Amino acid sequence: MIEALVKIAILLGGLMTAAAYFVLLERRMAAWIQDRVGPNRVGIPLTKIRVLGLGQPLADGVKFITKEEYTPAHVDKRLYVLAPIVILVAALATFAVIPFGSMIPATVFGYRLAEKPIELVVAPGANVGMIYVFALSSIAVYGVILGGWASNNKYSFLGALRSSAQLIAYELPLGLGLLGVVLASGSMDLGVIIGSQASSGIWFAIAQPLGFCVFVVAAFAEAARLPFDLPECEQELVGGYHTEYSGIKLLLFLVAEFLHMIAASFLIVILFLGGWHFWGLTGGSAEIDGWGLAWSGAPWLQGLLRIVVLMTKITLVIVGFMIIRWSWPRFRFDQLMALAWKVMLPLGLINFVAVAMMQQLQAVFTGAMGPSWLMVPIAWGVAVAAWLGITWAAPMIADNRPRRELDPWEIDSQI
Amino acid sequence: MFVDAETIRLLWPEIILIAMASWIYIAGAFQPHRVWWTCFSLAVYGVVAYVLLGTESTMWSAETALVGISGPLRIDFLGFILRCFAVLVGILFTLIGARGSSRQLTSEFLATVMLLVAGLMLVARANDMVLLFVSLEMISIPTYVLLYLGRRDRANSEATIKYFFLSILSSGLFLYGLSFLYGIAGTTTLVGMMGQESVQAAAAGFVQEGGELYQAMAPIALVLLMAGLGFKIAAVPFHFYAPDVYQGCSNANAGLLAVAPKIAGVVAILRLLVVAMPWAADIGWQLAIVLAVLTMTIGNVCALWQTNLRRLMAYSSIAHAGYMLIGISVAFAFHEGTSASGGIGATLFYLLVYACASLGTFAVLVALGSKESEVSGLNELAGLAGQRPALAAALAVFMFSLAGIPPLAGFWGKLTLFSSAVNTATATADNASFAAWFTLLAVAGALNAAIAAAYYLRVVAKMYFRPAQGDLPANGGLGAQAAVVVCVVLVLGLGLFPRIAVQVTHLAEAAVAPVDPGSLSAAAAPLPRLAGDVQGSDDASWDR
Amino acid sequence: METLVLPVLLFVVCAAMLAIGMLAAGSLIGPKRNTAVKEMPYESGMDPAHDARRRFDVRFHLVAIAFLIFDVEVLFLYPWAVANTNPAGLAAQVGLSQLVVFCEVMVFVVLLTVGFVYAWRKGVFQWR
Repeated sequence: MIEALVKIAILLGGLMTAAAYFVLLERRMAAWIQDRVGPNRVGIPLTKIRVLGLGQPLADGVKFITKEEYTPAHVDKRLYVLAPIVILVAALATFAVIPFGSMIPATVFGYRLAEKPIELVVAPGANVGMIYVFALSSIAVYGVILGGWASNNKYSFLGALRSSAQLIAYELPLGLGLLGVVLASGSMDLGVIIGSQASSGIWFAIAQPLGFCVFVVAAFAEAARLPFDLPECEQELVGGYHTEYSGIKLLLFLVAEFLHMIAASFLIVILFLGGWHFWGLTGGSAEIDGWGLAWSGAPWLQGLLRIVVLMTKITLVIVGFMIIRWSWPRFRFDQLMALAWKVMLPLGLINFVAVAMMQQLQAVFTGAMGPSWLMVPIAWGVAVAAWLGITWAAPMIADNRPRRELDPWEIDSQI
Repeated sequence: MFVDAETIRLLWPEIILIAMASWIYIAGAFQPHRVWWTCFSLAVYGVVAYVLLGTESTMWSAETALVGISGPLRIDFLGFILRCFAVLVGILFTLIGARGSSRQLTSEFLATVMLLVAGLMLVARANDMVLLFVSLEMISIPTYVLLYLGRRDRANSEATIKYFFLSILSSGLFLYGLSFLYGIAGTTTLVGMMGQESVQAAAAGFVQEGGELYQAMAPIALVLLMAGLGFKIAAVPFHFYAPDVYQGCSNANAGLLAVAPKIAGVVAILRLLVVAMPWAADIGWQLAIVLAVLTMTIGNVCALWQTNLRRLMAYSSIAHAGYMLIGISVAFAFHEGTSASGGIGATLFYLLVYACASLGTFAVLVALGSKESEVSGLNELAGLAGQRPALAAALAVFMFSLAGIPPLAGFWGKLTLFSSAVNTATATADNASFAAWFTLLAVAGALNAAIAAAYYLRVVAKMYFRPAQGDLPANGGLGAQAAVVVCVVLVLGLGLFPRIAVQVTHLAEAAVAPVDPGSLSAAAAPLPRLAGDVQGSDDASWDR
Repeated sequence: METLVLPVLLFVVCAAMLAIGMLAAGSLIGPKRNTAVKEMPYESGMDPAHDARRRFDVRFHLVAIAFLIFDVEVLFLYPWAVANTNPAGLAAQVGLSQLVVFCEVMVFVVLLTVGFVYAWRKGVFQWR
């Protein structure tokens, strides 16, 4: 109980702070990519000291809270207030099953912290972990739809519709990309999935490159990041489903969006990039065994190292998110839908069938089920073949001219 | 209850049908061509018939007609007959309906019919509640699609939606009843239900721990299941959709509605209620008698003043459901201790006869219409005998058969049904209530047959004794005409040589219900198994 | 079970308290100045024409149905995916051959693909 509460406090505090500072990082990155300076003025209050603009998130937060808390007259009041709460709670609750490290030994520097090693996840051993994550990502759709509907504004309504269509369309490739991982590791517990990658040393991004691509694209779409940020495309829908929101309620939406991105990076790293594992650095056992650090006699160092590795990977993925945001144009909605249904869904299916078949063949011939280096070249062959196939079919898939502009034979031959 | 190679072998006809249906869906989406795909699907039915006769070759002689269990399937003669008949229905319906569908959607029509036929074949086979429910849905869902494919106007859409909503409601009731049944029996296997201790407690009325509860639950399960299946056969409290839906949809689809759900519903009632729930028979036969009398009477009386042909046929199909319920009540009563059997055989025989005549009637109506205009009013048939003597004669044959005029199949059907009721009444003279009820039932049936003759003969009189009002297009296509010929041959054949059919249906009854009512609690010899090791002995204990 | 559910429940409660607390802080601290123009729905400065909740494109409905169909079918694959590799799964079940179940799953995937190809060809995924 106490242990869980401490973990929750660490996670909630860490996540809210991280979201705030990632906003700053994003603005600085944007400035860097566009050859500007970015927010660099806010420093320590009441002094003239600027610390790289590190005070900016704090100032933003204060600003949001002191803004007018305002509910327009034309909205459905209850749903209007409920929407940001739902979306933030759903975004936060996702982290209950996501590990933010491996373990801390029970005894550190002679202080006895707990009876047994502390697993760095709020709900350890959640064997339905991924199902839980999926369920909450579906609840996020409710938040969006509620917000758009309650606002009683055409921009909001359109944004919510588009957003829900996008989120549910990309939930399929997300699930299919994950299916290969579940099949290879035999569990939906995120900790077990990391353990399976660590013990074999084969990250699933290496073993299933196709599944990795599908999952990453779908995760971008689920987090509504560019190039998939149609839900709130500022230029067309002036903010989409949160057009009518302001002040602290808007802040909740924005924080939830950042949390979605952070959760997506956590999932990408944990499912496909080995989680806390790094070759020759952290050891492959799920337990803290002091591997490679026996000379120091400090298993806590290993636990710390794993946290550092995980956080480094996640930061790199988030930076990747941001670089992509500031260098890619937005998809048109029909292209977005075509990508989900006509490219990602078949690719996900191909990945699933390929993984299942390789595993079954391996089981028949060698009797072993888990991932092995033998599969890697085949998997990359499948990925390249699938890529070539999509490239070949792309003109037919991307053809979205209106029907009246097509010849009859074109309608007939169109995919 | 494990699936093994033998189970798969026995399912080959269904597997072929489903695989080919998938193929027609996909390939037909790329290459729509009506005649080509129609011929293809007829060829598939031919192959399926061949495979069916091959896989069930043991059924060809009475000695080897084993009753066996393989996985969730039950292999017996009843299933065999119905599977053959399902393929025949598939062929006939393909012939009748294919021309009416648009070029773009022909492949959908054909493949959906295939799925429906596969569902019918599975219902005939099911020995498991789950399989039974799924295969009933495999009939219902294609039916929704077919109804929608029939025509594209408001009346048809309304009929489709009406049927859809009521049908899912009935599926829900049925499923709810199944859950009660599972709660009582503790197994999903149908023949296994009798061997369950809890069921025996309910049957023998033991007042032991839980026994009263089971006794209280049995009627609930029975009524819910009867409600769900009563919708499928259009029995009375659930009949009200039929006239509207038949009237709204096309002639071919009305023919489908009159036949496919009815076969499935009757078979499910026989398998599930009569055979698997003999411990509920004391309520069952009363329920069936009440429903039978109500259904017959309401159907026939309402049919008297119909002027729309499909509406008329809808009430006729309700009335015939009532006749079939006579056989079902007799079969229930058999479990209740009467010595007279014959209910299941008579029901089955009547079902086949009714299906042939009904499908034939709608085939004639399709043949008389064209793609643009359908025959629907009774008056449109006036003077048909002069214009289209052959089709008029065929329609007259079907009407006479449905009315039960002697040399035709319908007569023998009614005769076997009523005689089974009379047998039950006389064989149990010591039980006064039995005798009274079943005598009443037989009398009601006979009276209803007389009422029914009025409106069937009205159709015939219209055709032969009224002057023609206009010219019917009679452009329904070769397929519908072929279907008419097949149905006429069947009705005449069953009418002139009823002995074979009666024997066959009695064989089916012998296979399906060899239940000695006295030996409910006695340990019985397990079923002969076809092959493979059937796990779980409690599933296979079955009183012979 | 308790060790799994309790922390998750605690987490959700804490997150909800955080969200509601932020909202409450905002409404307590922020100023309140209502004007008639502020009450109007924002439509780029134009006067709003009618209620926003009107009929909308049926294609959204189509997406929802396609999602339901395929998502439910994909969900059926998860139990198998876990049981197939997990040592406590299929391997431990007596009488169920891993290969047979694998073949059944492949049949399932083929049927899924049939539906997918059919829907694609019929233009369900065409957004125009």
